[in-house]
Parts: sequence; structure tokens; C-alpha cells
Amino acid sequence: MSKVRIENIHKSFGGNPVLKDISIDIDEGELVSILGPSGCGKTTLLRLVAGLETADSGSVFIDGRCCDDIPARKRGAVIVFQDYGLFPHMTVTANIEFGLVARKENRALRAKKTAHMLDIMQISDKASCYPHELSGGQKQRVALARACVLEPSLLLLDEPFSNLDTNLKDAMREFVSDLQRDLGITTVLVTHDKEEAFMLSQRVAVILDGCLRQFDTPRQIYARPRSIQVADFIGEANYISGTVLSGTFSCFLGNFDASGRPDGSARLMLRYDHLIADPDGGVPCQILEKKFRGRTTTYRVVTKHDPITEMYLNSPIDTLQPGSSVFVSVSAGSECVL
Amino acid sequence: MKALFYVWVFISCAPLLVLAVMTVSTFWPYPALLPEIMSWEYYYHVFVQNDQTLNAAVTSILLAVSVAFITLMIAVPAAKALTHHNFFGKDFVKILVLLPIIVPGIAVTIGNQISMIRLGLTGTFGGVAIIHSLFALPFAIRIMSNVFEAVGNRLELQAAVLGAGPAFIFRRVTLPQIIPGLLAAFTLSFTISIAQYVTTFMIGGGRVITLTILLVPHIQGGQTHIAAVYSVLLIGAAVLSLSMMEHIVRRYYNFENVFYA
Repeated sequence: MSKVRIENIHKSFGGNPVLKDISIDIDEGELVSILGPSGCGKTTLLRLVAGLETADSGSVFIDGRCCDDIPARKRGAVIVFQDYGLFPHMTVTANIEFGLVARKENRALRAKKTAHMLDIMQISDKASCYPHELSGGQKQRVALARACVLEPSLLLLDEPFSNLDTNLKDAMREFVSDLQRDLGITTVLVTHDKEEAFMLSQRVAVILDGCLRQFDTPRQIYARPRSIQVADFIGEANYISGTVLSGTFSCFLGNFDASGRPDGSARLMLRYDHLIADPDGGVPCQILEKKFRGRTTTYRVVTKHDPITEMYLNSPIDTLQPGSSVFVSVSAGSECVL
Repeated sequence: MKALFYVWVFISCAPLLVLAVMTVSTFWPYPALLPEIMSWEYYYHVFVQNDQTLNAAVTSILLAVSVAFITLMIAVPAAKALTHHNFFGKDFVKILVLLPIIVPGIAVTIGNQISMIRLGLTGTFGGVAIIHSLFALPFAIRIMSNVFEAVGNRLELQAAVLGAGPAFIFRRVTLPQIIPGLLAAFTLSFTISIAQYVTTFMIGGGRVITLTILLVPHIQGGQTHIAAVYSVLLIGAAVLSLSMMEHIVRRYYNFENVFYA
């Protein structure tokens, strides 16, 4: 049985629909990302699950219990907000203890749990500091500690890493991922960052224009988007026109499996990473432009037999020059016919 | 900037200085810069010959403190509701709140006097406290609305998802955040109450004697020196009680180094 069940949620603000018929099932101990561009309603969804908003229709179940009439403070779902929401007039310790005090837990147990959390988060030396004395990463650890110390049935993270600079972001992602696995807390993470969603979560829910477009593993969403919209949102894709005839898609790059697709015109989606600049042969192309991006270099190429079709590909090789010729082939098993 | 500040200090303090000098000047003919004969004669008159003075001072302060508390008790929840909650007719209520200071005070007071007579509140401390609060409320609600707007309800939501109940949230999260605003609203309500004359006179019916009740007849009667003594007393009482109040609050909430760091 699923741990959290979001069932046919509709929500609109002032007649403007923000969420349309969203249903998501989240398993015990799973980390699910809700991925979407800014303003797609993903934060609203999180607030609905936490009980800070009321849905127009639909229900949220946590541990099989319908939460529609349960106020936020009794749901056991804790949000960590984007800006951490630390209480400025309380020390780190008092911040972490807050929920325990509200629950009237006894002092000794409180102190023990808090000390344990400080230890896990590696902020024991900051215990008596005030939030304004902390760095961004430390603030985030305090916010996480404050949520985790309550052993919530559900942890909700709202764009948790967007206020951190790049290096710290990577470190904190790693940290949160380990923490979530170690503590086994069912977690929903809201983000607009694809890489973050892919790195951290077991499954990703892509929300576009208030609709759930796809809910699947990161690998599936990246390589097998179910629609052009999802493919476009994830980005870095070439679309190659062709035709499907009895389960086979054919275009100038070759024939690909398209079983289950109706006959007619279709498009093949190929990620930049799925095209290979192959010295051994493939479709002959000419390089038009190159962009050095660090780990990879993106080349814009045009096929020799069809000067209209341009494609982009990522390659670890950065020595190819614009104007030179190159053979391009498709890495096996990466094709996706839309 | 600094020079401007001193100019401002001078402009606001100079009249008070004249007032202070007036209280001790028995003979101050034009165009002498300072009085030619000085004595404590007027103080003697106010404090010794008039046995109502000290009682009036105590009444004024008690009244002002009560008014400030009543006002805050109403203004805080009202401002909170007007800022963070939506309800039918909210904009109308916002205007309604300002009415006592838009409509001439005397009209408001006469209207209220009729109700107060019916309720048996005229001539009582409570009745006067209520009418003073009525005039302090618009300002206090205004101040607290701005405070709540600036503070937002983000931290309250955060506290709620952490499992805290409304009373706990108010005490541990909201209150510490709005303390500076509360102090401002308290001070203003206090000052409004201590300066009231017409309302005290009409609702108090001469049975609630405050410093202003004693002071005003002296101005009307041309005894400006005695009025000056009362004024100094009034200012002294207000400044003393307010600074005590602020001192106490600061002891409990060391807010400055937290919120404005």
C-alpha cells in the first residue's frame, strides 16, 4: 500500500486553474520529485499535501488516512520552505526543539533527540548561534534538523537548494540524499531543476501547466518521455521527422522500433547525449558550430544529404572544428518515437 | 544630517523649555529674557493647595495604561484578521475602523454618551477607558496592520506544520516578531489617552478626574503658569511610564540584535 496518495486534486485561484486532476502515489520511504517550471503549481501541490491550502476537489491520504479535514499541525507532514523559515529570535537548538516543545515532549528526551540531530547534521558547534550567524548551508541543515527531529511521516522540501551556490548545492544534495536514505523518511521534493530531480529521486512527477504529464523513474523520463511537452521541458533533444509503418519508424538515420505506434508520420526524439560523433562511420555530417561546456562539448551539425536537418550532439571530444566532417550515429537503445 | 538633527531637537524642545521656565516664574515682564522673580509658588498651588492633583495623576496614568491594553487586545487580532485573513466585506471594515478619527470626535462622543448612559458607564473609569480606546484604536490597528504585513505569516505557517497549536504559535512565534510594533502602538494609545479632554469630560461627567481635567480650566481662566505646572506634570508622567514600559519589554525580549542584525 502506498504511503501517500494524492487523488484527483483540483485547485484554482480566483477562477484560474492551477492544478488539474493530479494523482500521485508515493511509496513508503521513497523520495519523489515534483518537477516543473516556475509557476506550474508544484509548490501549491506541496502546500496542499501539508494542509496549508485546501483543494477544490480531490483528497490527500497519508498512511491510508484521509487528510481533508485534518489541520496542518496534525498531519505529520513537515514542510521545509525554500527560505528555510528559521525563527530569527531562537537559537539553533531552540529552533530544532520547537516541534518537540509544541508536542510537550519531556525535557530529557528533547535534549537527547536535539543533540542527536545536531550531530547528524554536523552543526553541533553552532547549537547556541542565532540563524543570522549561520551560512546558507548551515541554515538549511537547521531547517532539515528541525523537520527530521519530529520523525515526520512525510517530509516536504520546497526548492530546498535554490538559495545555495553551486558547490554547496552539490554537497547539500548529496547530504540530503544520504540523510533521506538513512532515516528512511518518505520525502517529496519540489524543484525546477531537472538534474536535481534525476539525481535525488526514485521517481519524478513532471507537472506542466497544472497537469501531471508523466510520473516515472528519472531514466524513463529522460529517455522515454511520453509526450513532446515533457521531452521539451527536459530539454536538449533533437526531433527527427519520419514515418511509422507497421511498428517500425524510419528516417535518414535508419530504422527504429516503434511497436505499438499507429502508422503515419511521427517524430524521433534523440537526446544530445544519445548521438555519437563516431569515427567508424554513420551518417555523414558537417559541423556548423561548437560550444565548449566543460564536461562535454555541444556540436551543431547538418546532415550532408539533407541540408535542412540540423542536429545537436554532446561529445566528450572537444577537438573537432567547425567546417570539418564527422560521422554521426545513434547510441543503441536510446531512441524514442513520439 | 547631524546638524539637521540638532535643529529638530531644538525646535521640538524649545517650547518645552519655555514651559518649564514658566512654572517657576512669578514675575516675567516683557522684554526680559529670563524671569525677574522666580519661586515655587505655582508648584505649591498645584501640589499642596489642590489635593486632587496626585489622584488625578494616578488616574491619568492608570487610565492611559488600561486604554493601551484594551486597545492592543482589540487591535492585534483585528489587524491580524485584516492582514492575513480574507472575509466578506473586509474593505468596508477597513474604512469603518478609521471612522472615529474621520468623523469629528465630539459627534462620536455624543453618540456614545447616549449608549453609555443606557449601560450605566458614564462617570466610571471603565466608561472613560472605553471611549479613549475608541479613539486610539484606528491608529493602533493601522500600526499593527503594517507590522503584520511586514512580518508576514510565513513563520506561523512553518510553526503550524511543525505541529504547534494557535496559542503556542502566538506566544512563541508571532509575539516576539511584533514586539517592536506593539511597543509603538502601546505608546501611541497611551499618549492619545493621556491627552484626552473632551471625551473624559463628557463621559466622565466630572467624576473621573484626570490631569487634563484639572489643566484645561486653568488655560481657559488665563492662569497659564499653573497650566504650565500641570503640563510639565503630564509630560513627566507620560515619559516616565512609557520609558519604564519600554525598559521592561526590552528586558524580556532582546529583539534588536536579532531582528535588525
